Amino acid sequence: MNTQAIGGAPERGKSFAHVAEASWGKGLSTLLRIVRMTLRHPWQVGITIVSTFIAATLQLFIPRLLGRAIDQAQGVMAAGAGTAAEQALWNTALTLLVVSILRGLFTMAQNYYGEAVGHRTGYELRLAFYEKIQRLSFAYHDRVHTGDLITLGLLDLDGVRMFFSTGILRVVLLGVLIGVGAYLLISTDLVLGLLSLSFVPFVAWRSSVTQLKLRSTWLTLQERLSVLSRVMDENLGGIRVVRAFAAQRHELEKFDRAKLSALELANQRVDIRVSNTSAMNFSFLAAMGLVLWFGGQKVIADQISVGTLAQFLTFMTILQMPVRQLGLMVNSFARASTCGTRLFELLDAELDIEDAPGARDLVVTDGVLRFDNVGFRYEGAGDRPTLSGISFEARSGETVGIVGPPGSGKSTIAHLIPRFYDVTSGAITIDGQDIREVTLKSLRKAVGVVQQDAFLFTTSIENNIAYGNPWARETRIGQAAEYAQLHNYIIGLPAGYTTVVGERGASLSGGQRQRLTIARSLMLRPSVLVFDDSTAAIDAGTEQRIRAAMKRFAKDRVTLIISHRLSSLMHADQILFVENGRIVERGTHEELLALSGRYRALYDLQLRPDDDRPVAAGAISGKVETGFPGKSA
Amino acid sequence: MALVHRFYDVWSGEVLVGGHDVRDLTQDSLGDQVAMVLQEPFLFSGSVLENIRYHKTSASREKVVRAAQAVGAHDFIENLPDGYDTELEQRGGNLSLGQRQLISFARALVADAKILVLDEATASIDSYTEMLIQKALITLLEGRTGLVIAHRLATIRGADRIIVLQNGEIVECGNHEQLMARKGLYARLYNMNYASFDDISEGELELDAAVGKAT
Amino acid sequence: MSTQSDDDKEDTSGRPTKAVVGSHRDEEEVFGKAYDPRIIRRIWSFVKPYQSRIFISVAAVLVFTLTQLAIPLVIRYAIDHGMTKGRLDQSVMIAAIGAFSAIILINYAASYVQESVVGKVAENVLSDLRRAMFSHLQRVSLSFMDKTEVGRLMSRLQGDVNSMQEFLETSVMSVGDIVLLFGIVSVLLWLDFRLGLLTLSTMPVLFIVRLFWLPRAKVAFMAAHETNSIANGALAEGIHGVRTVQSLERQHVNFDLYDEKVLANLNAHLTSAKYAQVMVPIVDTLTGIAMATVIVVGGSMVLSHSLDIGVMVAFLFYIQRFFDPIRSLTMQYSVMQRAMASGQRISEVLDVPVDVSDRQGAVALSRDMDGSVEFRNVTFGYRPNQPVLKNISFRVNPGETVALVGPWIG
Repeated sequence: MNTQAIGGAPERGKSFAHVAEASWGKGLSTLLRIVRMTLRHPWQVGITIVSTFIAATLQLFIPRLLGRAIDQAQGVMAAGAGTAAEQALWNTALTLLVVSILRGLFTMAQNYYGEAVGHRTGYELRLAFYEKIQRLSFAYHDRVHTGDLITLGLLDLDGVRMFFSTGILRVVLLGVLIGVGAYLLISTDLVLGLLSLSFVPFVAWRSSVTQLKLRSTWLTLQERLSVLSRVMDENLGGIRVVRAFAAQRHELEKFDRAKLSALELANQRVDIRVSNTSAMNFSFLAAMGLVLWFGGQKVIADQISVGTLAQFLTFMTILQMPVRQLGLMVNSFARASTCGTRLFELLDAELDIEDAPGARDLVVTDGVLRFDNVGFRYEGAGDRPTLSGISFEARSGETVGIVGPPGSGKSTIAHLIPRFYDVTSGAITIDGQDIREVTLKSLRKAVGVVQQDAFLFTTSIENNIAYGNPWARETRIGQAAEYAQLHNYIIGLPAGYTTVVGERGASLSGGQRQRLTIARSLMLRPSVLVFDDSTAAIDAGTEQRIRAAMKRFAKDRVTLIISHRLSSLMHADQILFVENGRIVERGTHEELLALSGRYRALYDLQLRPDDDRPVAAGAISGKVETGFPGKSA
Repeated sequence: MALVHRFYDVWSGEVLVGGHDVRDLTQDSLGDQVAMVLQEPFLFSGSVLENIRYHKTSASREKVVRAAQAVGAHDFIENLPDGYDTELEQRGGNLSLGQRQLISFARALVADAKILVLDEATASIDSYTEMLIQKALITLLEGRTGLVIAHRLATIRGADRIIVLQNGEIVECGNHEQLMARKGLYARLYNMNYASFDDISEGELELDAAVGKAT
Repeated sequence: MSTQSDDDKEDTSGRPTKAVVGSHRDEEEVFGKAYDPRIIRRIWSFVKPYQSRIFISVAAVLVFTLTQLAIPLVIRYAIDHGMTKGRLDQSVMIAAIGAFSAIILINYAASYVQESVVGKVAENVLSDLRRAMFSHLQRVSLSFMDKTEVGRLMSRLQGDVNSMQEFLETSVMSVGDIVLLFGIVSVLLWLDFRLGLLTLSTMPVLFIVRLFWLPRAKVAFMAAHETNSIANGALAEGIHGVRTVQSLERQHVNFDLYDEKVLANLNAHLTSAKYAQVMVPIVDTLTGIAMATVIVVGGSMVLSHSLDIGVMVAFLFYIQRFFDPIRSLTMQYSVMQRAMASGQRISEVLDVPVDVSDRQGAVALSRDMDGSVEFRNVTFGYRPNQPVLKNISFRVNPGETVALVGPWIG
């Protein structure tokens, strides 16, 4: 009796877990791949790197100029006080101004183009991602949870996109600042130079470790927050049940537990972050103190000038922020590596359902659908095949009914025809053409499947009906709606066909949603039309009217009706009773009744002529008694 | 309905439970003594066990299992990957509608309230599960006061008393035999022979009424 | 294939008329008035329980800012009194270093205290806020819950509460920034009034530029944000509905539409980046001008011995730090606007009236009650003027099962 979602429900978050254990080599190759992607915009990358280089170098001039200015002010450099010194000051000042302006401009170029490259890379990735998702087969989507896909498309994509500006550029920036800067400083004065740089390794190490720790705790925090949000979401969605059971206190307890666990972790993270920034600050200032002391001694001993001391101090100030961001840089590398690996895995995933090489369009002549000893098994479904030995044939104008207990494989038959999954043995042909050898596009335009729980898009009713044929004219849409017995309802709405269907069709009742889905499939004028238990929420009377309306259609196509309600398919030209993946009985309604087998048993269960058996009040027999629903149409 | 639980307040008149006006009772106690089963069974993420127990955390595992057995849900629960400890997806997505209904029945059973208000589901479920649900319903209603908003003929026939509403007013009242003898609205609906009154659309009723007048 | 003659031939070139990806939802007001006293008071009521901790952190911020202001002064002191020719003095150096060490220790302690206290208070307030909203929603009328999408409520509980977090964390910092700004101005003016005034003359320019820049920039930022959510919405829809898309062969059309949206987003981002970056050279130029001024004017003053060299050094240090608080204050302004808008929505949730609550003197229904249910003259409807029940009366006796039937009752 287990009617699992097709292929089994995937576990959230676990779909890509194996990536976390990927090797170093893999991470590196991912990063290289990202770099290659960015190099698709060589000019912009070039401008960015050059600008970064120049901006960083210009910035290194500033301490030097300031130092010089100070010495000039003391009249140290010029021969003596007076206009020569003043002239020198003016020179320095103007140079400084020019350097500042240039530095600003180049930094602007660096930042802007850095972001531009990132955004363009992001653009390409998004398109590639979207396209790939649309082409991956049902089997893939069964395996991978939609939540994971969304995380992949939003967060992971961002991690990759930002790699250039936050990762690579920072390497250049810091490389220049520290590398060239260190050279300049040490060559000016070894001791002071080393002292000025003394805080760099500590801060670099500390900030990297912290970032990585924050990142791992962030993931845990997200999990706890999602537990909290799930409690809230379910409570709000099921508020009636909560009220009905007066379970508010219970719910609040649930909430509190989730809240406390998240809060605890959040506070821990604050601690980690804060102790890190304070420590970094402290080490920086301590180094500054050392420079002040030792530098001061040197000034007193006349080994260096005050200007030089100022130069060292200024340089340290310039270096402070970028060095702190070293942690972010390490984080960017780590993030890009894991995010990229996950993303590329999807982008590289093989398509298991695609057009065969040399596939041609399906040509429908007589509209004969044929199942030839078809067998099928879902991935990971164990040993027992879902379907085996399914054979039948139907011509245009015929209706085939498929009935059977839940889990018998009925719906699977519906999914095989448009090649949502490929058969594992046997073949399905339409007019003699194996469906695996025709183009998917032509196949799916020729086969319409109306599902029970179909997805509706948050747009107008007419856009939903015309989803398979978005160039359709209103008249045709209205016609489809009429056949589906929906037209009258729609024109009764204030906005008529332009009424927006709520999120996933929330504003419509179950029956209306199903009717809309039917209309949608009708628009395709398919050669094979399959109803997969799609009238469950529609009352028997309306269902019959739909069927009557579609009688005109039926002569041009093969109609497959899969249902557990016998009343839906009793009129079919042939009925197949499927159990455990096999056809156990077949024939017309009358023939099957005569067999007195499974079909008959089901019939007795559902529809038996009322035979006035007195039933004592309060006692209900195990059977449901009704009569023929034979009144209308 | 919603009014018994005071989900909404009445415009006029009174709703009494146990002889008391619901407005004079605490919401908590009302929730404790009146169990409700809704049309759309809403399950939470968590194990099957937790869902059946819901807020009656004092209920033992045996009690839960017994309730599930009584309701006919035990078998399919045992067939799940982790049995009673199987984690349900958000809103119980990995079970079929019928299975979810049975679990909500089990939940009502564990809640063990004197009064049960039940809103029958209208979506058609496969006949096999429906059988189970019908049986479960009897179990559930045993020894309790039951107010059922019924659609299925079997449920209706089995009730001690049937109240027929039309346009918001009570038009007929009595048990199955009495109402059939009256040959009124109920008798007409019954004779339409649908498995569920739900299947009768408005137009047909009018048609039938017109036919009835003509004969 | 059937042959409907008239509308079989459809023009499939050009744009499909009935194709859309992603839904357009009314973007809720993201930015509100920057300062709304009612909302501030509301939020304060949640912060109030932690007010002693807030005071501590404000005090810590002030101390921290003072230490930041003090450092260049210590350097100045060391230079002027310990290092300049003719005034070499080791004891001054020692004192200066001593002072310096003390300052950096206080700085460390103050920054640690301030950030950790504020961070934790913010997390706690957030939690409290969420819980208050959640427990309130347990008691509000069902008709409100029926009307409101769960998604909307969730975005209040999560998104809006998160904006408040950003605001709370940074608002104490802003106090520090403001003090720092005033501090620097005061110190500069105190060190040397004329030089200070000259140097600070660049500041108004920045304000004026920012004034022109801000509204335009905000428009650009919002456009980037909105096109981003539109594109993401389309992606989410594509993921959720992928099976339908494949079965109806909508991949190509959807891809083109998605491309449009993502392209629009790309362009919006580029524009927004332009606005963001255009301030950089402006700030750098102004900093450069200020420093140049100090060099020329201050320098000549030093040459003419009307100014100590240490002061000049101190000036240069202060200028380098000057524009940071201004930058973070401007950002804080928009954070505040966002927080106010969120605060508004949070208040709305908290203000939803509790429709059905226990009356005074309500009695607990006991287990021994008789188990009867009775409706007496009940009239009711879900919508006003549309009664679903009209004057209904009936009684269900203990142990009875009563079935209510009738077409389309609910």
